[in-house]
Amino acid sequence: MSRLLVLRYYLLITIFFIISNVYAFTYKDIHMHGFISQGYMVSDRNNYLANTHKGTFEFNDAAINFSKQFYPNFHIGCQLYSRDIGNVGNNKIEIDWAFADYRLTDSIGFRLGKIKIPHGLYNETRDIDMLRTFIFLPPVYYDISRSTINAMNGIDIYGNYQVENIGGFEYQILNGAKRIETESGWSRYMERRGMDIIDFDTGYTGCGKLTWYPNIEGLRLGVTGIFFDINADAEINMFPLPMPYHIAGPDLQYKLDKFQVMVKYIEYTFQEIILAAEYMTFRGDLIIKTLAPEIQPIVFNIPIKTDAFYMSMTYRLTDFFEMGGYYAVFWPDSSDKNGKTFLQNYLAWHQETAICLRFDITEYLTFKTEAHLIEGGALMMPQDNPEGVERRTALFLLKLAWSF
Amino acid sequence: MIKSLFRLYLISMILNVLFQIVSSTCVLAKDIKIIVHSDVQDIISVNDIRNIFLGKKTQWTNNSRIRFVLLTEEQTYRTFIKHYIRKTLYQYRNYWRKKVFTGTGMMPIMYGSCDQCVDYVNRTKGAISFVPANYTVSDGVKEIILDY
Repeated sequence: MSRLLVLRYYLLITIFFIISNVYAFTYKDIHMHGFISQGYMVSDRNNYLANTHKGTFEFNDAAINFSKQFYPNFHIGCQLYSRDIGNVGNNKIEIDWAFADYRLTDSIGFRLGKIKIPHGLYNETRDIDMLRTFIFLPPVYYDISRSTINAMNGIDIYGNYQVENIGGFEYQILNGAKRIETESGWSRYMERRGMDIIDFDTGYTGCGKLTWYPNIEGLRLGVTGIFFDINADAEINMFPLPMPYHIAGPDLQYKLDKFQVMVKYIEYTFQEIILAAEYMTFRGDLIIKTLAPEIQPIVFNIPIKTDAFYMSMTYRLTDFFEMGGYYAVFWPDSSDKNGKTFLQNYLAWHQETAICLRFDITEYLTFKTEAHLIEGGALMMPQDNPEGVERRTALFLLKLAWSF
Repeated sequence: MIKSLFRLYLISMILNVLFQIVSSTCVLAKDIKIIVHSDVQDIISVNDIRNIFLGKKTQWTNNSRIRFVLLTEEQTYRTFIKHYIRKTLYQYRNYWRKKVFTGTGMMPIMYGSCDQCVDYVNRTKGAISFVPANYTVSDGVKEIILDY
């Protein structure tokens, strides 16, 4: 069945649910839920994630999931997901997650399969528009990194503990392997560094999450970590090597060695107000080795020190209306926050201020409008902006989403 | 890492104090009756109720499974979620939608009428639910007094 046909069927099913105003569909104890969204993006200067300068509708996603409970403590499920954002996704249907979940006790349970990676407060729900106020999450969840931190295959051990006078704890330990597609956002990010990725090979991946719910109403705080290596073969498109370097086959191998992504987070909910802040660090070594057979390989070792943080606030005024805003900063090289080693210093940072209005037209239908002011070019792709990256960009977004 | 968590904790303490100054404290609902299947013998605290309806506490002390059911009659539902779960209805729905769309949980069982809720609790071992305080429950279902 062609991809287009699948999407048409999906659209018809979704329209049926919208009209019938049903929150879920159940067939022989199999529960089905899903969503579909369409957005519009336009920017005044730089292209951001897509061809936004002219305005683009290349901004949509859809998912459908199936789950069945066999026993009160055992269920299985899977979710199919498709998205398009600029050159990434192109509505290719992928398995977003698929696993079996067995909960032995409150303090320990097991999941086996393809599982969403815990990364900060919102990574597991990053694609589910109706679960948050904002259209774009802050750069801690930068869209380009989705392919790297979305989900992985493996075994997950999770649980929660209640400790008197201290509060509750939730933990998650995930071990397995990760696959990254060559057409992913990560490839686009490496393309920016002058390399066209022709093959990814990622080995062991480990993740952990610890959340503490102290005896303060509405508060949670914690930390997540992802640890993995990425090996890749690449061809050079503009990397400044001391000699011409195009050979038959891959020009070089690159390895992200001992790659660590840590996020510390805090969220405080007071009635209709939610305050959140997160600080993320990327650490590791980028090792690049040339492959020309006739000469000695040249090895470059580039330490990666990338930091990002944001503070956000949302406020729900009524069942119909919610608003929110955030301020975020991203530094690709936190040892050079002022851009002294950059040709244009503003390429060393990305500061973003966003304001969002959300309208819940029904319980299942939401409309959002969002404005971003971006200062700095650290997250602007040169390949999207061939005439050069400008310092400031205003970005305006609209998005309509249905869920059932 | 511990130092960072400690710093975050201090910040949150300050925030909490500020918010408590400008707000009144929540009162527990007197309009709600918590009901359980007759075989449930546990002493239950308000914190237990919260953890049960958030899916964090899934076993009674005798290791039998807890099966909770939601009464979605709007006024009772809103009051229960606000005063026992300490969330708004919107936040509570999103909490379960997050579980559904990440595969980590299934939607809770929901009934629109008290009779259906009581009937479910009556015929299901380990079941727990809530009804308005003025609703008279049948045999096989008992009201529990919470341990504050």
